[in-house]
Amino acid sequence: MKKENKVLKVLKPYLLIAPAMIGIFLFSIYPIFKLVSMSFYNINQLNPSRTRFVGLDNYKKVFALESFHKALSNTAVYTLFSVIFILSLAVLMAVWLGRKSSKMNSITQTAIFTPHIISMISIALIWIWLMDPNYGLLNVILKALGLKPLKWLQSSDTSLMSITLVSIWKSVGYYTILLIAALQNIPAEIYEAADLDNAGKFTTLRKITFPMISPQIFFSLIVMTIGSFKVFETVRVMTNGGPNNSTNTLVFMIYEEVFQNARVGHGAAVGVVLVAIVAVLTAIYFYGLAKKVHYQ
Amino acid sequence: MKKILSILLCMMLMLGMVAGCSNGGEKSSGKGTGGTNGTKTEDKAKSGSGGRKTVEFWHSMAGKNGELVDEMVKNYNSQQDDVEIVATFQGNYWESASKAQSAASVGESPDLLMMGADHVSIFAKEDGVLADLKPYMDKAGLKKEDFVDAFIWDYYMDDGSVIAIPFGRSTPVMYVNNDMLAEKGLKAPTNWDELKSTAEAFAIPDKQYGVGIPGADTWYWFMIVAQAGGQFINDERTGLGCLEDGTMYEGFKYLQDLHNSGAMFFGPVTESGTVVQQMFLEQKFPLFINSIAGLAAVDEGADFNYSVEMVPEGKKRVVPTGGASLVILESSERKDEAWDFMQWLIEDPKGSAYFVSNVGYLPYTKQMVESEPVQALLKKNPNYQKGIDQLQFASDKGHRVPQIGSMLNDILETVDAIMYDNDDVQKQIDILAPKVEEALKED
Amino acid sequence: MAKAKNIVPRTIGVIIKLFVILVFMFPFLWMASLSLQTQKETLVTTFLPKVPQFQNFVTAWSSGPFALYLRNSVVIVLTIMVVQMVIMVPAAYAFAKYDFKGKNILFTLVLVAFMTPTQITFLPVYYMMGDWNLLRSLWPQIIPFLSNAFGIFLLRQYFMQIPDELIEAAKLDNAGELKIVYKVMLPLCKPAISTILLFGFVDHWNDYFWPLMMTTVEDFRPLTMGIAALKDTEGIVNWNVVMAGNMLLVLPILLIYVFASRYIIKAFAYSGIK
Repeated sequence: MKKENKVLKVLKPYLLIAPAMIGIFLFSIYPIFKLVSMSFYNINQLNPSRTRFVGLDNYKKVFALESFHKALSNTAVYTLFSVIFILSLAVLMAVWLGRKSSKMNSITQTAIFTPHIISMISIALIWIWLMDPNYGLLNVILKALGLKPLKWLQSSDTSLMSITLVSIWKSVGYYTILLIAALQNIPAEIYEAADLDNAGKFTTLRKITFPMISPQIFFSLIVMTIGSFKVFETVRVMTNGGPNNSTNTLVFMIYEEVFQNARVGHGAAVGVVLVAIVAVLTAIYFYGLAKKVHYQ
Repeated sequence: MKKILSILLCMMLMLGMVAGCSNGGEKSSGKGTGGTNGTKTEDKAKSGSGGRKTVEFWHSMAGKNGELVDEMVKNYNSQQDDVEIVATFQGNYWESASKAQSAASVGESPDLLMMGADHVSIFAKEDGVLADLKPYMDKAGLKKEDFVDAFIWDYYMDDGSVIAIPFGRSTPVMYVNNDMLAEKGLKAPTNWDELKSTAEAFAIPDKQYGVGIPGADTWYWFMIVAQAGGQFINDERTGLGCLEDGTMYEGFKYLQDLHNSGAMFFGPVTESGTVVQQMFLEQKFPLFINSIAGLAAVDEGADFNYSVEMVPEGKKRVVPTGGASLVILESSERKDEAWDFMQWLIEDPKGSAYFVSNVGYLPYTKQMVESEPVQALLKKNPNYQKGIDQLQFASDKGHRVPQIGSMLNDILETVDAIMYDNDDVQKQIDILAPKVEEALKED
Repeated sequence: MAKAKNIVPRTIGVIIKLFVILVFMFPFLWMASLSLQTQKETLVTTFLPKVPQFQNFVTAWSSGPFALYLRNSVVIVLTIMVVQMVIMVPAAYAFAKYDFKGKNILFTLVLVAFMTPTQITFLPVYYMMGDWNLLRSLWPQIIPFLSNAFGIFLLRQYFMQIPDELIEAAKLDNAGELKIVYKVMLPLCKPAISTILLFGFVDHWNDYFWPLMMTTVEDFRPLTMGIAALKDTEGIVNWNVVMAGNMLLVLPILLIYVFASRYIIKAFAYSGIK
């Protein structure tokens, strides 16, 4: 009797995670392994018999590509800037809109959340028109304000920033709501106690508010980083990676090599690089940040 | 919670079963292949409604063009009882081609496939992927001379086989806003110099331009090199052939200068054709170089007196071809039936003739020019004749090599750098040259 | 006296809020406006249509088998969400509250899965679906998403915050393990659940790339593909109809959000751990 229970007890967690892990193995882990193996071949989808092993050739070719290096740096820059801006704006807006519940505040919250639910393929064209250097509303406004109009999507200098802007517009609302909820979770007593100690507004923010919502900030940071890393649809619909690879990202490059240039082997190689970066990020999460978060 | 969960689970199971059964029901154009869950090519829904043999036709026509394809297919299907063509939109030319490649690996290839003019070679260069149409053509009495050479020359392979038939083929033309020209007492330009002077006459910084050209399309760049008298890829097919004689530099620089002087509006990286076309219709510039396939759209949208002219010539008068052609996959078990439909498209006035005349694509056989729909269009819109007349100058011989499909992105990068970033033309050409050489090494 | 002092900053606050609302809603409002314009109006930059053209919606809807597309979208998204709830909750619980051999390695795999974009997994999964003969069904759009690594990650976070004493107390009442998870712990994680379901619903409802590549027959296509087919690659584009189609895509989510927003916000705000 006791032995059975013991076996069950040991098995229990495995049983609990089994369905999920099967899915993860089949549809995430196995594909990664397949991808790695594919990266060592010159793959011919139409004539599989002509698929041949090329060792590190794909990697050599990919690393020599200017588009690869641009994709790498673009991904890094895009991730960095979008995370910084979205997080800061979200925190700002959460503090601004989340303390009092008023009609105005909830309407504003709904408004900034709406972009998140609209599909990129629907709204991309609107943004392309808004950002048109000659007739787009954005430049019209800039000119009205006496500022210099920008080339937005039509210059390598400003295209990545334009994409980032659209991403910020799309994502800020979501994280704001998340943080507002976290804010509203802070018990009033803590604020009252701070008041009694005559703490100033900023001190309260710094020493109480932020630490108390730090789990959610941390969570947002992770999700945002990973999300930015995976950015694809925005690029595909708005710029196709251009002009001249200025908005090419690692994920988009995989798509480009596999689905446009018909070079599956190359795409797989880029994919493996992406996976390697992901592995590094995972390690950072585990051995670095996880310890620093303040839990109640 | 558990109750809700179990109800939801039951719902999901039921839905899941419905999901498994693929019969879609209302107005599904895939009705013919409805049938069973995940069948491979061998037993792929062999019979559609009423025991007909089904032919899967993948195409890239959406919106209005998609409706025309559906109309055409409906006509064919209703004219006979043997074969049912099931036409499905598969995304644009790039997406459809890559889907077809992935599908080939798992035995899910279509029978009939529409391919962009520059994408056919991806399939053509692989042995045994595309069906040889020559035997069918011979039987039907169709000869190479019956077709417009520019649209079919690259489908005649070295081994004598024919691997594709044109479908919706086009060339660039120049649309002209005659009202705007008349205001300045100018005529439509016929060569590079005239294009430059005419366009510059209209340039008002940020407000008005002389000529609009869409971006993100390589064919204008093949064209400008050919017009400069150059050959894009060299005879040996080892690299760019337009470097030493400076024709690539000449052509690209001409367009860059035109852009920098404010005389040209160059379209954005995406949605380019539609954006530039819209601006032409809004009369932001009097000259618009775009595909003849835009004729119906311009005709419908233009509030002004417009006409179609040949694209201005450089040292030579030459235009590239574009659009799409049709191929039959060798793996198909319905090759005969697919050919039957193809032949119908070629010969029947309700086939390609109907399609091209409703969009503005060009007729691809001599017989098609004489067909009723095309003649009707010519009567209604004589501008169409200019497109047909220009065909004698259509040629892709300078650039359409088998590896062209994998070079397109590289070329676009160069174009982007030159036009959007105003980069040095020679520098960009020097960057492009090794990429082309690399691409040509692929077999 | 205090009220008069507050009026200026309050008015400024309202003005700024209105500005923010406008900035964030503008693209959507313009899209809505385009969906009600005539074709001619769309050719020139018009902000408000003269006469709202509601028939654009009808035109968009009847351009293809939209009832079928809608049904597919609903089936796909609902199935994914329901099965995810069944699969990921126990897994998150186990990772949060149990210690077992290989836990860290397995959780690392969960994280890796979370970070891996679908463009990487697409081709191998496509081949898999082909080998399993599932390409002519809705399954390729459902099965790969049933394990929600993001959901497991987030839920585990929340579960870890629930004090063990609560679980012990429930166990004393002879409650079965899963019952505890679903009846006691889950309700405490409403913010997490709302996040996961909302993210999931929006992501899968709006997905275009995966269905585009996984479906070759109309029968299994979701709404996003029907909308994409409204736009022509060359020639005349009826932007008003295209935008009407896009509005149709947004509408269900918007409706859900409007009706559920109170619940969602409440769910987000629900603490209850104390």
